[in-house]
Amino acid sequence: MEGGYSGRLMLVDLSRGKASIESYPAEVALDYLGGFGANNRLFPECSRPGTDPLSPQNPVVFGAGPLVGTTVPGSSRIMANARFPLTGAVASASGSMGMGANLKWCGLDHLVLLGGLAQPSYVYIEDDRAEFVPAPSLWGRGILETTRSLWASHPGSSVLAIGPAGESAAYSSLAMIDACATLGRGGLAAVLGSKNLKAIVVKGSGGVKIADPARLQELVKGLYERLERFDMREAAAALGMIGAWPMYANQLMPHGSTAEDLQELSERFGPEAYLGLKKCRISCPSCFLADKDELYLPRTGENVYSTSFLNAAIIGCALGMSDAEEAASTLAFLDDLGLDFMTLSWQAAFLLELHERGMVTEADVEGIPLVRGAGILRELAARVAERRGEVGRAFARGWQGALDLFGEDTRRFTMLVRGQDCLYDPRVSGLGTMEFEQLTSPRGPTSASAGSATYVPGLPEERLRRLTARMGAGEKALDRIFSLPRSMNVGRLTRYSEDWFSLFSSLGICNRYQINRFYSADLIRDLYAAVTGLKLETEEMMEKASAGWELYRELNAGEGLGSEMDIPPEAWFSEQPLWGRGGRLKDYFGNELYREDILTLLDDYYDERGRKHG
Amino acid sequence: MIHNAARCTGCRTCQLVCSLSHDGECNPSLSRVVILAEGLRIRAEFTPQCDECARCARYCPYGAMVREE
Repeated sequence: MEGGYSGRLMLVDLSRGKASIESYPAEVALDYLGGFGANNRLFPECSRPGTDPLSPQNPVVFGAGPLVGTTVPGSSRIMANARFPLTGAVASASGSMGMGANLKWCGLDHLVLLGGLAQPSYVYIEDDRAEFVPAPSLWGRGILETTRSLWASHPGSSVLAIGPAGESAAYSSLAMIDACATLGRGGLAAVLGSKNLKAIVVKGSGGVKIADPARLQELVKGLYERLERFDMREAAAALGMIGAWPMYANQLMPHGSTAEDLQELSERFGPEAYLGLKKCRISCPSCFLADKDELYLPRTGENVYSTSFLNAAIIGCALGMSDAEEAASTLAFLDDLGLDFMTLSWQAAFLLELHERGMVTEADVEGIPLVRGAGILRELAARVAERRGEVGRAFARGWQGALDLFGEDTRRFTMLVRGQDCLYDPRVSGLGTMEFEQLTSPRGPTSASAGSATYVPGLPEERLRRLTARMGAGEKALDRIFSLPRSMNVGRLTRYSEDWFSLFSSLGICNRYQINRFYSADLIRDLYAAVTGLKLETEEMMEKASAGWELYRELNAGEGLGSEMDIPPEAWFSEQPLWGRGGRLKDYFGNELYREDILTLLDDYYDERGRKHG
Repeated sequence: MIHNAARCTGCRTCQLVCSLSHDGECNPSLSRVVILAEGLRIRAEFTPQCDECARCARYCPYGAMVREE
């Protein structure tokens, strides 16, 4: 391999306070491309099935693919594999900001954490060297303060930190990279906290070798020319994802809203509201469409970071917050604790459902305010992070803890798959790949792993087919996907969406729609060849991406979490509003769907993967 | 060359493009652009080796790098 890969990983034994640089077999990279795929290949080498997620024996494997740390736009992805406590799955989580690039600039493709520390500490990695630094004074601190403190101690570094929620092993905790990128929905921070590991600080002073620099420059120039022609560029540059507000607003509107409600919601959380708080935009390394922010909150005078203002708008709409500042401030509060804003928001919505049905009073939940707004979310989050009181202790064990507290019967007021909440409700947005894949994702519903053209509502079939071809699906597969009786079979399409995710996450490119829309499988094949010197046919490259996904599935089947867990939540088949969303289950084109349709689509999905369902 | 910190988002494309075109690898420490980071706030300076080829300006997606004519 002439470039892209270093062929080296750092093995960090936390129990012994030792780190070593090791070579890993070239086939790991050659067969699975790197990052996501290679993590799935390396994970079982250092782990036994059935290990308790919160025991020191649960390893964490980080991986940054061969394009990370290069000029390829959006190539900043870091993947982290571990058993996550929320679902028990071996999850492969995806994050961004500077950790992946710095790891590559250290001359490392992977970082493997084994064992646990005797006392709260952080690990500082600079090139080939790792230092174990006791940090009792950081334990208990929020993520923002921890990150700022470590930036001050190690200028120019990237900081992955956990907050109080990770320290208390809350199942819905996650880690943050550079205080504005999440990593590990479902409890990665709890895994790190159980190892007494408050933070990982990485600073690389080297670089990534490139097999054909002139060819890489030419290909990147082409991507920049495409960016110049992108008609939404100006809005995206100024506003990030909130620049596409009309598309998101329709999905965020509470069920039964009117046009006046939409107008009012837009005033509270739309682009103008964002601009009122925006201080400056923040990019991940090499990203040409920044979507992280520093925001100024006038009421408190604070400057906070946001993972994306769209996330503030999501919780603001879901819980009826008063304005953008309240939503942004609440999002920053949860980020600082190191909690997943989506799970906590849906848990707050669950409590409101129970309260509205007369099943729970404020006294039952130890005084948590059961009214819409920021208060319920903040109070619930604080109690979960501290495991305070009966409610805090129960919800810190995730949804199962909540169901244990209020009774299994209350499951009908949830929308869960594999014990994790659905981010997307197909009754609202239609059953695109991101909605459907919530059933088949081995780790449970995620935000990222099945993006496709169905992310954009209302596209005609001909355009969907063209955009699916861009993702490396061959003509025969396209014929199977776009055929009667459905004009688009979302089960079959989801296989190629997952492979697309696997490709991006293995090579290290951001899979957000705003970035991946500039790429095609053929272009990625060429970028891969320019960086690594390895020339693959597109089909061969996609097979490797698919093999990485299959490893992921097998890893979880080995944990007893196979396709028998692909169970659609009952709420999908009810028209009743839940968590402010409702309506009939429908496909991407708006046609009604029934339970048997979902089961058929699951069979089709597995057929497309060459497997049997169940 | 001038760096406009107010427009800079910290993507470091300037450093990566510079080292790629001059040294054939993506290596910020070889770049003629030196980034002084205070957290996520970025200030950039240029080494004496900078020949003002302005590739950093051409590829800066945010217009933060400018060659003064």
